[in-house]
Amino acid sequence: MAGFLIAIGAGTASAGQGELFSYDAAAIENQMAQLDQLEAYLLDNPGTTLSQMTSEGNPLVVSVGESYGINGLTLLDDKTLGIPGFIWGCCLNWVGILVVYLVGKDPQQTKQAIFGCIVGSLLGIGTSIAAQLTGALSGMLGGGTF
Amino acid sequence: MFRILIPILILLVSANDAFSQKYSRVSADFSVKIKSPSGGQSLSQGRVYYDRGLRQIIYNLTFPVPETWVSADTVLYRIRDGKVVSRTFSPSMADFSVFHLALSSHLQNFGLNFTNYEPKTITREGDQVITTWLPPLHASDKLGKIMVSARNKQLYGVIFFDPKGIVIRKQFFEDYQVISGLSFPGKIVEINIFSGSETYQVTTFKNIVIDESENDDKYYYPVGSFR
Repeated sequence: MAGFLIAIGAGTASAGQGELFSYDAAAIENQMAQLDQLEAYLLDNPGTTLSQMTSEGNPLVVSVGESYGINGLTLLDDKTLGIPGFIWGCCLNWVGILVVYLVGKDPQQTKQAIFGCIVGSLLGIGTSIAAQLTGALSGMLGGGTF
Repeated sequence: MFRILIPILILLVSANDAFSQKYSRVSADFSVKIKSPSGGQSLSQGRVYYDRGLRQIIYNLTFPVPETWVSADTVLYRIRDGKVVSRTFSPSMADFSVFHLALSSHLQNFGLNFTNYEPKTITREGDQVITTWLPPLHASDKLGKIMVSARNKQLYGVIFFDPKGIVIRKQFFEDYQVISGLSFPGKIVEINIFSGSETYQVTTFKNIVIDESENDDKYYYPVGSFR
């Protein structure tokens, strides 16, 4: 493990590192207000689908829809590789996050890197997909060979 | 001094891991709310199932439409009324999902110890233990560092940086619930920062069940028939 160096101990932290791990919870709560209302409605009306609510002219969906539009499956504007955002964040964890970021930065190359990674995994190269992905990203993006 | 301490620490962590209980299954009601900078927003709800041995992540969505999403191997299947609506190639990441990491007691370091990232510093600040992970040198022009914060031996926050050191994503794992001795986050808050704009994603897990001995069919979807 070249370059493996760990500094351990209290008081050696860069000042304010802990502050990085904070966010404005109230602001996010405010951003989610309409979705919270929709969530509460669904709790009282289990099994209701978006199309049912739309066809019934449910004011909750209509009001949100007029302003923004709700689409739980296509959701974000920058859907990556045809995979919904919640899958990337919730299912694919940190690797997915890196993929989303890198696709946003350089779509073509990163897509190729991802598929290179998949091919690598099918061939049984490496011990973990994440290691392959990191290697693929570094090697492929850096070397530009596919 | 560190050259002596580090192997001992690794040994202790490994020993602790070896004796810690391993779990195999988790299921939970999930809700994912997303708000993008453009005003777009979405809500997805349903129940998710994961079996560590079978390595399929199965989302049974109830909203916005009843559908099943299956992440199996390198394919993500979208299934409606028993028929495949779409299939998308994706990296096989079951091993790095929050479900797998929690069941295998590796959530605390976010699974980074299984990657090419290496821990550079470990520091304590208040009630947080913060580990900074660096990408391999040859990838440092493309990948940034990742900082992981743990509180009470539970993963609390993860911050992703770009190669220039700018924060691009924050994740917070909160509202931990202990079910059958396993600690699992009830809420994950994600803030994605891109070009100065922020996208928010809040995922909640409720009615979490660990190592369910029934409903075997919920944990495995026979996608082989779709190939």
